[in-house]
Amino acid sequence: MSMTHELATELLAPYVDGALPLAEAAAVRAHLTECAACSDEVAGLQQLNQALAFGPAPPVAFHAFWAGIQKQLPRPRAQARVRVVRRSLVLAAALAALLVVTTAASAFASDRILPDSPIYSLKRVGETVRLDLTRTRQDRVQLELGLALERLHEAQAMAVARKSHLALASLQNFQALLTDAGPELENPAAADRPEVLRTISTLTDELTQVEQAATTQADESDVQVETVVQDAKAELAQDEQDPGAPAAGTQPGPTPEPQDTAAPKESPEQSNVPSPSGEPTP
Amino acid sequence: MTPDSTASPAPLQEDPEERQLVTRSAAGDQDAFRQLVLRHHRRVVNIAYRALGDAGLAEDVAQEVFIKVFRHLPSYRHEKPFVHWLHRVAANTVTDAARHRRDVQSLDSMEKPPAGQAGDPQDVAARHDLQRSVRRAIATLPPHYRDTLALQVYHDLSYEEIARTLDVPIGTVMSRLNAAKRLLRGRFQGLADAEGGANTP
Ligand SMILES: [Zn+2]
Repeated sequence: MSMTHELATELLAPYVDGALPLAEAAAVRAHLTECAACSDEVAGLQQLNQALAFGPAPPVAFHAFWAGIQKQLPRPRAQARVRVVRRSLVLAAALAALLVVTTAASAFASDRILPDSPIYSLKRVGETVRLDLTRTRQDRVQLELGLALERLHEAQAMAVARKSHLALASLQNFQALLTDAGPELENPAAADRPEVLRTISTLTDELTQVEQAATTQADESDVQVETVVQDAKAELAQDEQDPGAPAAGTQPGPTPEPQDTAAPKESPEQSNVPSPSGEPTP
Repeated sequence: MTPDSTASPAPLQEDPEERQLVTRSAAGDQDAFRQLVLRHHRRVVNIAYRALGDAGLAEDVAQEVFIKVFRHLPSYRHEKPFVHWLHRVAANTVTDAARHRRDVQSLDSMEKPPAGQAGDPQDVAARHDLQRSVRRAIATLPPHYRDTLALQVYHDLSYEEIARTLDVPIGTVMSRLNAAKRLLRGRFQGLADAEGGANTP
């Protein structure tokens, strides 16, 4: 219960601030009854705390405050979108190499038709038809972004199921869709529409989660995993410093080699279903 | 397939709405960013005001903080809650502003006591002078002590919040604050005696 003077002097400020655990606070209090030096110090610290108690600022007019910020923000939209697309591409490349996209399996809706389903290629045919029927370029971009998101979900689900070929195939299609959508996103008429914004937000959020999952998994044995993620991040950081760089559509520099997977093959399930004419297989 | 609860330990729960706003802002959505600023501007203006002592300057610096935040959001990785990151950006910006201010010119005369504060004008002025000397004394502390103490007195954070913001154990926060305050007290002994207890409200 009793405490040495030396130890007590280490704890006086936290004691005065009420930041010590109960037992330690009690021990300090006991020491104070028998040590004049520490009692003086406590009084001094209390006085100091009063001098350190700075009050809050006078009220702020938010409207003017925000206006001052807004006029200095970079013309953000097109650039930010290009960045998201580029970030997506870099990440997709990294993830294709890693296949560590194992977030919780429960995150994926069970009614989704996944690449290992017998009717999966029918779903893809349907998508192609929808893309072909899309009248305007803008609508097409929105659809492409939505489909890219779908591919990302599939890749995650396939990675969880340890079907790495299918995960890789989905990621490659994900990449192709974003590359396709890239140039149009620089056009504000297409990119500033709220539904495009929403999809991009979702996409960014998904990517952040995937990235976190990838980083968490990369902790132990696999040094290479970490290197790949680091490379991707370094490239992104560089990208952010150079926002004028024509990002969309360009392939990220160091595309990492897939680790233990050969080029994606069509799964046997998929080949049971007739392939649409003229549709490039993923 | 069962979700693996041990896989990714979510460090600290962040308000999902806040997370959404951060994500949308990072994608360049200025409406979302406006809401984020609305949520946090008081916090940041207070930090700058406590550290710099001038309301107008505090608003300018706080605006600068948010402009930096917006610019760097795309590289923010959600490794810690947004507010912790915000506090770090604010701390750096405010420290720079304070240093710049001291380097470039002595603007002490510009530091006006806040208008419309209750109490005897003489008391207000005395308190204002005292705080100015306290700020100066804090600025002369070794950087680790100075920055940790700033998080307590300017940012108004608890020991635990300081530990999380700086990514250090709470014991480190305790020993830094203890050392910082003892140093400060040493420097202030003379001053407090000279002022004859002008700092007791
Ligand atoms: Zn003692």
